[in-house]
Amino acid sequence: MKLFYFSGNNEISKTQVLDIIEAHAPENSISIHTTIESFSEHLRQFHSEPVMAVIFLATKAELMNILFLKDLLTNIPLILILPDREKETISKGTLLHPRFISFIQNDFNELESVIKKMIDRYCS
Amino acid sequence: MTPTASILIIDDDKGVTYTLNSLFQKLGHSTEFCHTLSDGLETIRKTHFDILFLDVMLPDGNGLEFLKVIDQLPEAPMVIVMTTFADPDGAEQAILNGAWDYLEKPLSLHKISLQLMRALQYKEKNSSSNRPVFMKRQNIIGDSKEIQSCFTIAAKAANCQASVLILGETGTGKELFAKAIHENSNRSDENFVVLDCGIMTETLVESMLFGHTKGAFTGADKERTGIISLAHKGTLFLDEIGDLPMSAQSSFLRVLQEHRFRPIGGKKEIESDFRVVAATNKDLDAMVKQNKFRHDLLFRLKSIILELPPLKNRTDDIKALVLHYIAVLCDRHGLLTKGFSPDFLEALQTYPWPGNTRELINVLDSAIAMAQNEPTLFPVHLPKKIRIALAQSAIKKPAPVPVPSGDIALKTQTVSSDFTSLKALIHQTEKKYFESLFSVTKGDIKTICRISELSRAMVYARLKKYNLSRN
Repeated sequence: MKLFYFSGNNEISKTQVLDIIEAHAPENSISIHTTIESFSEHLRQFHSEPVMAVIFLATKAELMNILFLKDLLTNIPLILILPDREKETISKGTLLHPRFISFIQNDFNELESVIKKMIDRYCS
Repeated sequence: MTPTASILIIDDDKGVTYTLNSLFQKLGHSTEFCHTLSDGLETIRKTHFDILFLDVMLPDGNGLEFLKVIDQLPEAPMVIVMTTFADPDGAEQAILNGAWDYLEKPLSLHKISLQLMRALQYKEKNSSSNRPVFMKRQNIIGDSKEIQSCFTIAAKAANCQASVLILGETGTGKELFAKAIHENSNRSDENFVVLDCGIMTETLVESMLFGHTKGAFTGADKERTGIISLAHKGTLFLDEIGDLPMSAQSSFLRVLQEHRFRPIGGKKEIESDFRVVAATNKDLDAMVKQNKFRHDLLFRLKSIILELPPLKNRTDDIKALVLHYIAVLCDRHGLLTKGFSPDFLEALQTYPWPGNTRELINVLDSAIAMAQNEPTLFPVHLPKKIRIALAQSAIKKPAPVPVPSGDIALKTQTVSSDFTSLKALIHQTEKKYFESLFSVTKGDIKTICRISELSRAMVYARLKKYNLSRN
């Protein structure tokens, strides 16, 4: 299984989410990206194993940029962490058809249980 | 002249169904009858009816409530409600829920015939000859009979508001069809919201569905908007619906019936006009029998059932899928579109695809990567797992050898003349094995050695023995 992690600039939350992923993902399965270009390039590569993605968006601008990768993310199970709870932000986030939406202000307990279940599903 | 019609009667009074059945058949119509709402719904899903005569007091429910379900079906029949206990409120509810007429029993045959004639004449004047057209197919590729029938059902689903239950193995495209139904519906401008029931804990799934207020429970430090609200005027896609916990099933059933709900910890009810599409690879009927899924929720969900065929049942589509995804994948990798050899396609058409279309796409991706700069894909570019499976399936099992029992000396004279020598049998089997293996591996000696677990010298000896050569 390959897990792509794309993150924005909110350092504290970014680290927390990465800690959760590293606690549950198999060794050497995580691919971390901080730029759209790098993320896009890796999404275009061949992957023999199942792929899932966790996308952490610190700003609305990052959300708009990620939407450009919508086609590349079409068949990839996705967990999305949005910058705020505004209706428009959530509405744009749903365009990526994520399996789960969380927010950067959350305490991430729910996020951890979902990440663990998704990793278990795609590892088996 | 009154057109002929297909009529369904739902009434638990066998005298009524017998009488109406005889009358309608005498008038030249085709008729069926049921005695319960659930049988009636099953029948309507399988067969199109022009008119439904519906009793109100039935053993498994109230016919007036059933009207709401009927009204949402594609090409719903016109409904004439019949009741022994007619009342003004019942009449109002019937008409508001879409009934053509509301009749009080005992029924006069003359009145029934008249109402039927009027309903059929109205239907004939107002029927449209246009079938729903599925305009946007997204990435759903194929023209086989099997997938075309799925498109027909999906197009009908897109043109109505009924709940849809999509059934199919993993990788058959359940989410693709759900999205296509949404994109082709009048809800396409609104949200398509996904809830994956399989990755949520029991408490989380209810919180996700209904939302919660700040402080509603430990850990609820912020208010959350439920996805039922997010799906207002849009589509709510419930993936892995078989994993929805029983407690959430009860709560969700109420919301499905009323389209109103209260967030966890909330005081005010919220309305949401959402349309449900659910999907599963599980046998929900079996789960109902095991008390793991509510029968009334399943009844609500399966207004329209869309069963997606496994890829092995629509091999006619494999070529179209291969052409499409090779182009897409090559473009993604920044490569010129590659071609493929006839035996590459044949190999793909032979493999059983337990992972269905998703597995096919992954295999094509792998083959393109293996081919690197080669312009054409051959079987040798396929993943080893696929090539081994194909090689193994190509080996025909030898015919069972009749084994004489008892005293061999006494039985020798009765052994069939088809009983071949062991040496000949081994020769035949080995020859077929190496012919198949040579073909699938395109004569790659290293691979033949690895699969057969023979030394290079032994492999060469057999290739010479069976006259197999790359030339």
